[in-house]
Amino acid sequence: MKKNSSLTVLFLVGLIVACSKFPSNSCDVNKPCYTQAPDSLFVELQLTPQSEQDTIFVSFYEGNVDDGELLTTFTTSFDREYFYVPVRKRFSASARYKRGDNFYTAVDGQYISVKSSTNCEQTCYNWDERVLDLKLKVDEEE
Amino acid sequence: MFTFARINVKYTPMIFKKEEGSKRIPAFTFVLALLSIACSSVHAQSFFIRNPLESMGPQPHLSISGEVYANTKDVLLDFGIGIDDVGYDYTARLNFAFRPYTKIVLTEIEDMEWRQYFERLYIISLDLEKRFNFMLFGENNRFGPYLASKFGYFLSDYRGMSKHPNRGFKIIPAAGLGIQFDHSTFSLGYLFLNNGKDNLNGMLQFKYAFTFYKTNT
Repeated sequence: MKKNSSLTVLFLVGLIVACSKFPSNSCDVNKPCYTQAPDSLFVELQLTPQSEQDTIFVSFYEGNVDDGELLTTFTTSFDREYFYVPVRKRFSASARYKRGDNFYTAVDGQYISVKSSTNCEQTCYNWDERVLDLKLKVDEEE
Repeated sequence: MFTFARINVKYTPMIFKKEEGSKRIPAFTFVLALLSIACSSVHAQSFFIRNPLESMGPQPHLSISGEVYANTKDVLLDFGIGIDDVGYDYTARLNFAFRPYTKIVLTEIEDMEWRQYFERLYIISLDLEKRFNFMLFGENNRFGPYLASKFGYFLSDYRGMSKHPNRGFKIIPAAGLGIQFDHSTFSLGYLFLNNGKDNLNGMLQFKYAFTFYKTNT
């Protein structure tokens, strides 16, 4: 049984080591590298209009929907809207839909982050997908 | 204040296909599987029934656990560390649970007015469990039902919101059957997550626990 316990501890240590992130000195010349940090990036708002006549009321905020600064409101019947916004800030949006007698407000928010990594001794900047998902899920379930 | 640009794109209608309903695997199947494991182990060995409230004195040991609770709408992973008293058949552990993805929650805030949020969920809890092992078999194996409860703090988080109405202390009861092979305990049961009326709260609980102690062999 002592052997069993030792094996378990060894397994756990191995798991921690395997999951740990070590800095790498690798160099891949084919890997795209953006050497200048962006000041602003596009944020995509995804919507679900049922038709071209469907009007969705969208509000876009810096910060959160409930305590942020309202930047703009507009109506749209497009399924995508884009905003060009500064990085390292949080942005949120809400989209209000009418379906039958019910009103649905979809809410989403994201921090617009820029990360950096080193490739061939150069600092490269990269960023995640910036999508605010305001698609109404009840539409998808119908 | 900064400037921002809004850009329109051409309308492209989105078509969603209704997914066919997934087949549910009844909890009974899992219970049967657990019983078959127990019975196959018992087959060639001697076993006897005992009073499940009978204790063998205090024997507390360090114990770790990994747990999954799930239903057709939700999945949570849970890890814990604490004490397993193999004499009195109870455990007390400090657990951390999380949902490994962001779940869409639809909440009716007033009549005909709905809100759709992306919810992340974390639970920090003190887990207490009492096992009623009525069957002993093999050298150090046990089988029986258990009653458990998590006394936890829900740390839910809605994307794009600063207020989180689903936060707070909650009690999560659970019950089921457990089988103990020396250091390892497998449990399967029902857990009531108590995560609000907008969620499906009844969940299937599967737990594995490992207790560190020396056996007299």
